[in-house]
Amino acid sequence: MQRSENYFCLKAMRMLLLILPFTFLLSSCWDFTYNRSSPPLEPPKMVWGYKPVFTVDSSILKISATSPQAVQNPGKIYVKGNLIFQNDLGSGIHVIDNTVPSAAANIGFIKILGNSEISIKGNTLYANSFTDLVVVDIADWQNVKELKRIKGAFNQGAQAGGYPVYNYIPVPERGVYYECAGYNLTHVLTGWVKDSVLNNNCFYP
Amino acid sequence: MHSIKKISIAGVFLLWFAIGCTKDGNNAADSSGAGTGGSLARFTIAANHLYLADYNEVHVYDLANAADPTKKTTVNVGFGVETIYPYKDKLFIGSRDGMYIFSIANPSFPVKLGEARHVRSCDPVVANDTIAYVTLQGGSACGPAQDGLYVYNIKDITKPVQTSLFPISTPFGLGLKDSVVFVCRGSSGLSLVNVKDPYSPKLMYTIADGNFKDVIPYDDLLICYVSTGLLVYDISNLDQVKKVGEVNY
Repeated sequence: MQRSENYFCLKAMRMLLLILPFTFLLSSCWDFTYNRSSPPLEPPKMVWGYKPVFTVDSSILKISATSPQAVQNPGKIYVKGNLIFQNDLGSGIHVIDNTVPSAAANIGFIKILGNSEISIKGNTLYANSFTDLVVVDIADWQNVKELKRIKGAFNQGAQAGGYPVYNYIPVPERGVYYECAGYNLTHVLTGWVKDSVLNNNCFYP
Repeated sequence: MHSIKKISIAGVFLLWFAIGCTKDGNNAADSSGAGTGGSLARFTIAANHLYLADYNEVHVYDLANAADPTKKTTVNVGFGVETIYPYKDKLFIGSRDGMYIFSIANPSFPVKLGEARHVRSCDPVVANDTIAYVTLQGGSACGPAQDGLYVYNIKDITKPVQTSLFPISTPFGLGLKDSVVFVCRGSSGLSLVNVKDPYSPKLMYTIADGNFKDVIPYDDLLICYVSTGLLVYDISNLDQVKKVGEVNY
């Protein structure tokens, strides 16, 4: 009898040893975290940030040449002959005379709302105004003429969220929250105004 | 008869000189009278066509009638297209997941020739006949790639082979002149890298005149996009480039 008690004990231990590894497999099915106390979710707070300003007046999209403008948000560059063109993010293109590089001078500005890209062939400028492709006659760049506007020529980025329409006119400050909801294609973004926004909105790093 | 011959010969010479003097046509396929953009451009003109880089597509417009571009096609490219650089009959497209090379032998309908995939990053491209240079920048907005100048052998255009990785921190746009690559490094300045041996790029020196974003080598001038606006350098002597212009807005 002594022997058989030992025998059962051994058998039970063997069974346990056999089952044990499988209990670890089962453990992956159990949620051990359900009763772990997690930090309480902070409700979104109002903080200083920026709200977009829209207009329904599409005449603001009119392309025109103006006197030299102060640089705000310098952007991409383009060279053609003795002229250098430099984008100013969201507002247009600076025209720089580089005939004498030591005296390179800002000589004018082409106002294109929502601009970031430049390319030129002959006397024709191909640029963007937000997601539209605009064709501009710059033969006399002090008196430029819009020839064509192709709506939404490259709006895939905006739709995919990769290059939101918002980015075409930068938020004036870095490290701030801005309101990113409520964009409407019939409205034109003209700029940003400082206001209180929720801190679960878009963030401009 | 003789005088007519002489005049015509003189005419040919004059024409040759005139062509040799024009500033256009230094790198891109811009015999069409197009200008030159930087390496960060998303718009480019080549072979009388306009190419617009969208999120993961490139839209193609024929400029036969300059005032009225005609949409030809839209080509699918990789994820997160950022830059487009024309060289001869090719387009080099930098996207977040790789460099793509398209033939524009038929400009209305680009055809993919090759690609070099890499880990996610931001990556403008410049190239010549045999080598493509890509700067990759890691970081939060871009991806986990190691910062550096990546050099690809593109002798076999269908299979770009990475020949070297030259570690260089925070690279942005870049430009190529002879065997020197200009690498913009933001607030760290502008670095000149000798790539005579594409297997072993060497840092020449770094200029710390500003916060450099992109450059356009234009004959003997280097036009630089910096955070404050524009700087112009004389690069006729690559061992000692010198600042010649600065635009004060």
